[in-house]
Amino acid sequence: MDQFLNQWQTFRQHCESYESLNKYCRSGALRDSVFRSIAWRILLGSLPFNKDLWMQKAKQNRDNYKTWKEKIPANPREEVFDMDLGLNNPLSLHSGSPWQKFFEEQEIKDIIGKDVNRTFPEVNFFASDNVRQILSDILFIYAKRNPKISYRQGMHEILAPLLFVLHADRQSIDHFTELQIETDINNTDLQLLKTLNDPRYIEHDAYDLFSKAMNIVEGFYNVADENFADESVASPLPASPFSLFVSKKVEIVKRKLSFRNATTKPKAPWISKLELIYDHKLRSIDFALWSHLNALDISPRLFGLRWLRLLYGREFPFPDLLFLWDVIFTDRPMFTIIEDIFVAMLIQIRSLLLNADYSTAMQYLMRYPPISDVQAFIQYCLHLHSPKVLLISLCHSGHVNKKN
Amino acid sequence: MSYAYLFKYIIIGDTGVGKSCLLLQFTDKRFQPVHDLTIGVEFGARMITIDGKQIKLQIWDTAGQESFRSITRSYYRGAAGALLVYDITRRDTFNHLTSWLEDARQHSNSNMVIMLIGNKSDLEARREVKKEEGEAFAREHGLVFMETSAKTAANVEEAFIDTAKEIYRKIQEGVFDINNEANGIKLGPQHSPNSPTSPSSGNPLGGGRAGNCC
Repeated sequence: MDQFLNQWQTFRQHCESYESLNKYCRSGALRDSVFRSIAWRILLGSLPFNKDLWMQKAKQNRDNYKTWKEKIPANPREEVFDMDLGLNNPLSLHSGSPWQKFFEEQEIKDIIGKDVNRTFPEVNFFASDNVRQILSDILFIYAKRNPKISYRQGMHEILAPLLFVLHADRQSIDHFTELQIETDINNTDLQLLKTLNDPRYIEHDAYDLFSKAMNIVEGFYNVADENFADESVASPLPASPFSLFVSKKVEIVKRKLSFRNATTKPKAPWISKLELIYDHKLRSIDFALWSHLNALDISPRLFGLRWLRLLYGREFPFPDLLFLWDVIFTDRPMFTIIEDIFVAMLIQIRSLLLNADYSTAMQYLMRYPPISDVQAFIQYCLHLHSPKVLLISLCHSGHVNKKN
Repeated sequence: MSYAYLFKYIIIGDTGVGKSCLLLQFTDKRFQPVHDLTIGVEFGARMITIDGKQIKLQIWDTAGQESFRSITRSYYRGAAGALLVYDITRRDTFNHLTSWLEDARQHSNSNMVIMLIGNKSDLEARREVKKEEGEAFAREHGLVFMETSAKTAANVEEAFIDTAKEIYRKIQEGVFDINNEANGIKLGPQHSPNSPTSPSSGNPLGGGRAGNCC
């Protein structure tokens, strides 16, 4: 119980400024904290910084979701009676027909339901019907409120960890507050914690957190209009035996790049992001690795779409992933640390990649090898992110070798 | 490990029909009851032997959801073989075959070998699509057909290997231009007159392994 009180007091102190909250989250302090979900809500903008406004903002978020959930789904049977029967009947193909809308919504729900049933199969929490229903409902409301994106595969794996964290924190806080003697923690704070972790609103809170998290990854879901066909992707086989010669390959890549820049068609955001990561960041930090991957004709699109879309959800074990997200969420408003993590992940396995042929390298990238020391890995990401702030007196290759 | 040929495959079909499970069974010989959704593509590779020759298969396993279709299309070009998969317990996945096939034919080279696969044959009690229907569809569209179970591994080896045999036969008949890599076929180091030495001499990073390029 003392532990709970201490944790709360430390957390409160660190909530006094963004700088100190960032520092707290980046240190890994949330790994054993029951306040991670509150920290995430603050970092992503679901809750304001000022603690006095938390109650009010939480209520507002919840009311919004409640209204959407009531009003959004089409219910043809409850449509007004005077509606034209030519429109309001199940056989109408008119786009204005409430039945047409109803059937379309059933289809979205079907698609979402199938994916939700496959959410983190190794985590027990997601096997419960109740949890699956919550995930489905949130994704459905999001899809309806954001028709341009609607629902796309991968979104369920952004939502799932958020719901998990809300649920885990609620359980722990329940446990502590039940045992709590009022003198330990003042009554106002106790009420605040109980309200923020009210089990009746876990779905509402998860929706809000999810919609904020989607702002970070939204661009990575925009693929429909993209002409994906790029020579290195369309034919993952190396173009010619000469492609083994790095210098020659660099020339080819340069030409590809200038050609790409000359095209008028706007690129999907995730493709621009990958080009920035690969051809700018990785190239300047680890030229040898960049050259090697290019020589093998491995386009970052092959594995990078999943890395970005799921915010590395498949590449890290669940507890490590949550820590990684602690750090990503601190990097408002641009979240460019996502790029540095990408580069760090490649450099982390550089010796494996440098000794690999095409198939082997692809397998490392598609089934990323476990990182044993995630704390050190994150320090390295932060170092890449702002080398001047975080003075680590190690050059990158030396650092990696030591960490391995 | 050196090889005579490299064939590139693509696996296509609706979400949840078992594409990734087929690949996992073929490359790792194991079954995962609930497989993670494929986001974008997955990749697998394995060596097989046909007619005494080592053949390396590089397999691209694609996402089934419609929103990934533009990505999937970019993989057709440059594939020598395609596994078009439906789920025998879900009629809708069979109904969508025509649209998958149109897409494949439109974006691939005309010689691509397409194997039609009715997966989940272990779930006989829940069957919605008769084997005869699969056979008829395959006949009508000139495809090879097989029912498989990624769970029990029934016919999984055969599906991948028979596709390779068909590609190999087409090579022997001269149908495929093996010098055009857009066909999804590549001659391995065993074939090229001077290549076993070229990777080691040409590539300062690769450690001089034969077959370094793939």
